Amino acid sequence: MRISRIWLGEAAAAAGVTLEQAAFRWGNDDGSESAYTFINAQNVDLSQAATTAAILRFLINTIGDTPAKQFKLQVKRSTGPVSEWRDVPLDTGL
Amino acid sequence: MGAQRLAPDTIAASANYTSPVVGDIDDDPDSPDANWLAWDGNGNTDVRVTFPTPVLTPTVGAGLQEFRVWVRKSASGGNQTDLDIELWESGTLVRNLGTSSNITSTTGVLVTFTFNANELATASGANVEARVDQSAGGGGNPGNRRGLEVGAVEWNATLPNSGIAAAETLAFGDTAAISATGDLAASETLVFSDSATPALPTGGISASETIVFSDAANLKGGGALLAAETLAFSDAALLGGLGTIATVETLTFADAATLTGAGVLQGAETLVFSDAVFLRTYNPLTATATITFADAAFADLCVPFAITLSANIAASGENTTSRLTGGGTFGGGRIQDDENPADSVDLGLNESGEWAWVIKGSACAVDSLIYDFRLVESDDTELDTYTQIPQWTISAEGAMQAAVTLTFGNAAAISATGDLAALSTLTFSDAALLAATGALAGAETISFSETAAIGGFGTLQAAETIVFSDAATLTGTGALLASETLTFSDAVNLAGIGTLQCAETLVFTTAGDLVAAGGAIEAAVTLAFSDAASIGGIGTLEGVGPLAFTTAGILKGGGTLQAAVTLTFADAAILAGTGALLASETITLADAATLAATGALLASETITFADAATVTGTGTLQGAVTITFADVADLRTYNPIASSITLLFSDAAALFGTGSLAGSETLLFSDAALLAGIGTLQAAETVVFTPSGTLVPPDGALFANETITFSDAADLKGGGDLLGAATITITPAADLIGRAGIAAAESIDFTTAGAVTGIGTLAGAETITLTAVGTMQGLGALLAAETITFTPAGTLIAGAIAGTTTVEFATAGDLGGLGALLGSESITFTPQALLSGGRLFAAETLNLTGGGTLFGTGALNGATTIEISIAALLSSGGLETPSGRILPVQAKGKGLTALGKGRTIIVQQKGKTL
Repeated sequence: MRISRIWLGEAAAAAGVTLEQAAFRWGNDDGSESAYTFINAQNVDLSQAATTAAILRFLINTIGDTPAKQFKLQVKRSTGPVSEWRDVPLDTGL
Repeated sequence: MGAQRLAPDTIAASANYTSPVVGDIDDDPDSPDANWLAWDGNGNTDVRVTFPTPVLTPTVGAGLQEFRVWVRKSASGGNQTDLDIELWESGTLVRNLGTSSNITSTTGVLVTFTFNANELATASGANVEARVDQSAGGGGNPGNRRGLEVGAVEWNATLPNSGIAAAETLAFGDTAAISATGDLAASETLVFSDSATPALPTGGISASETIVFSDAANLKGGGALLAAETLAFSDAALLGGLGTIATVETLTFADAATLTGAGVLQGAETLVFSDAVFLRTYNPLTATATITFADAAFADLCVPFAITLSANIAASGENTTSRLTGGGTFGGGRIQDDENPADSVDLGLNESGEWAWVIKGSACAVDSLIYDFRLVESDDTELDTYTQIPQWTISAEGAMQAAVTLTFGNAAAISATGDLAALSTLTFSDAALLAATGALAGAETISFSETAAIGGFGTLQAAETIVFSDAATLTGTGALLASETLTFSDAVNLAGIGTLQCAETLVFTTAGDLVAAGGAIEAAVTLAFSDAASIGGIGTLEGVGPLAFTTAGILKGGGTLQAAVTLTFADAAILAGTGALLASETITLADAATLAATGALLASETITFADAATVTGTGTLQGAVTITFADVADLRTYNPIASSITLLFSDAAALFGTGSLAGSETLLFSDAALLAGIGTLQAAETVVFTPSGTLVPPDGALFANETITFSDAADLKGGGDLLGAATITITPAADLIGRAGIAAAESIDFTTAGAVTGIGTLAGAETITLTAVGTMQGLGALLAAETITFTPAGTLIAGAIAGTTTVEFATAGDLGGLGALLGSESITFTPQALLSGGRLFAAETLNLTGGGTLFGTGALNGATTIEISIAALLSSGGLETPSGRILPVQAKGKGLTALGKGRTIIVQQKGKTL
């Protein structure tokens, strides 16, 4: 009986830690972190020229107590020939 | 430091072995095979071997170079056997490295001695030799003699740094993993096969001849990959280096080889990507000769987005605040403009966080394509749930240039937005996709085949030829230029709005579709649209040479369609534009070709509409020489149609226009040709209606200076004049129902079943002939300067009939009209002719013979003689003749009157004169 409680406790802890990319919103690079303006409403995609910078903001929801995380941004092409996910590199002028 | 195991490659000298071969001793002493150099039973054994040159100069240092030997005693017991191992160079002893005394093992034992590379005269080690020499035990009492047998020899060379070197071949097979930081070099061949995974963070890989990556070999280094001759990636080989990949000859990626490096990929002559090659690099892809992408090769020259610095974000990023909705308790997050991954954040239990990056499109983003974004953990672990995936549709560009040939095959996809140029040939085949926004320039030839697609906005230019075949699609907005030939075949779709220009020939074949919005389409020599080719542009379509539309080709442009030589529309070709259609020589619309243009259709020589060709435009249709409508051609134009020579409507050709139809020479309607226009139909020479031809001009006139012929089932139902300067002929079954006059300067000929029911005048300057069962029901006059002839079964039930010379009703001719029948000389009713109305006048003789019946109530006037022959039935109101001679078979009515002296009325009944 005691063994069962331990097993259930471990299962609950493992199943309860989840990460969700829950929402996003595109913004303009026109102000500080808390003041820059948004381009569209939340969860509305962007259509914009390549040469204009934009801020892509994600909402991450968690269930459970996750350890410290480092997230990174990836991109892939979803039309034409669909590509694989690739890390978005720093702008090196290439 | 690095090391290289060197196996002996030759036996330089040997003694007291039976048939010694190097293959028996080149295996690894640490894992020897079962082969031995066998002692011959007499004397001490001795073998001296050579080695290949190490790939790098052996490192100097005590004990760093090692000779390792696998040796055994030939049999137990007997003499003691001792072994010396010596260092030699090019046949000269350098030093005896040591002696291993009293070797007793008969199964094998390892003997190892070392030396210092500074002992070598040749530092590279190129002349190193090892001598394995039995120094005792092989002689003496034959029963005690024992030999030392060698099973394997090697030189374990210590080399500088931690490079890996092979004098000839360096092969990595199976799951071999390479992680050295130094150079990986092979003087001849470097082979990575199977799942070999060399990972060189900083060092380079080079080969003076060939480097081969095959199978699932995986190369992940940051250094350069250089081959003097050939670099080949085949099968599922993976190349992920960041450095330069270069070869002076050929770089080949085949099968499912994948290249994801960020460095330069450079082939001095040729770069070949075939099969399912996947190419991903950040930098330009250049070759002085040829770059080839075949099969499912995929090139993505750079990541389409980059993290970009912002003046509003502090260096290394800032913490975020809660600005989005839908989250739980806000626990933090980062906004970054110079880091990816972001800084570490530890959210509390069930908390939410917000992460943001400042990004913009790189040089490789492609207009109109959609890009997805997501977050993963720094070790690439995906999140559990992606409820929302943001997208950005954007454009950017990269460059690809080949000095000679650029070939994209199968499912090759190119998404560069920079110039895509080949000095010789650019080929897109199979499912190749080009979505570039920059210029696509091939100095000689650009070829798109199968399902190749171009979605760029730049210029597509080739000095010689651009070919689109199969289902190739071009949707760019830029210009498409070829100095020689532009060919679009099969299901090619050209939807660009720019200029499509070709100095020589432009060909659209099967199902090709051109939907240019406003640009010009020009070909100096030939513009050919065949099969289901479609042109929907509104710009000018101009070919100095021939313009040909064949099977199902559609032209909907609003501009001018001009060909200096020939314009041909064949099969189901459709022309629906509003502009002018101009050809200096010939315009042909064949089969089901349709012309609905409102502009002018002009040809200096010939315009031909054949088969089911339809013309519904309101513009001018003008052929300087000949305009031909054949088969079921349909002409519905409101403006003049003119031909200086011939306008030909044949078969079921129909003309519904309200404008004039003028042929300076001949207007020909044949078979089921239908002319329903209200305008004027005029031919300077001849208008011909052949079988089933129908003319229904309600008001317009039909003019011909020479001949108008209605034959067979030709039907004329218009209210206008039908005027033939010379001859009008209506042949069997022809039907003429006009309200206006019908006039011919020479003759009007109704034969067989021709019917005339108009109310106008039917005037033949010389002869009017109604033969067979021709019926005339018009109310107007029937005038002939010389002769009007009704042949058997001809019927006249209306108006006056006047023949200035002779009006003749032949056997069974029926004259039932109420008007006058006037013959200036004679009117003759042959046997069984029936006259039942109106006035019958002849200047000389009225002859009703052979059972002719006269029922009219008007006068019967014969200028000289009125002769009613036996069995003729006369019931008219008056019967007059100047000669007073009347010879009816039977006379009823108000009586017969002789109008003057010398006139004879002879009435005969049953053989006697009344």
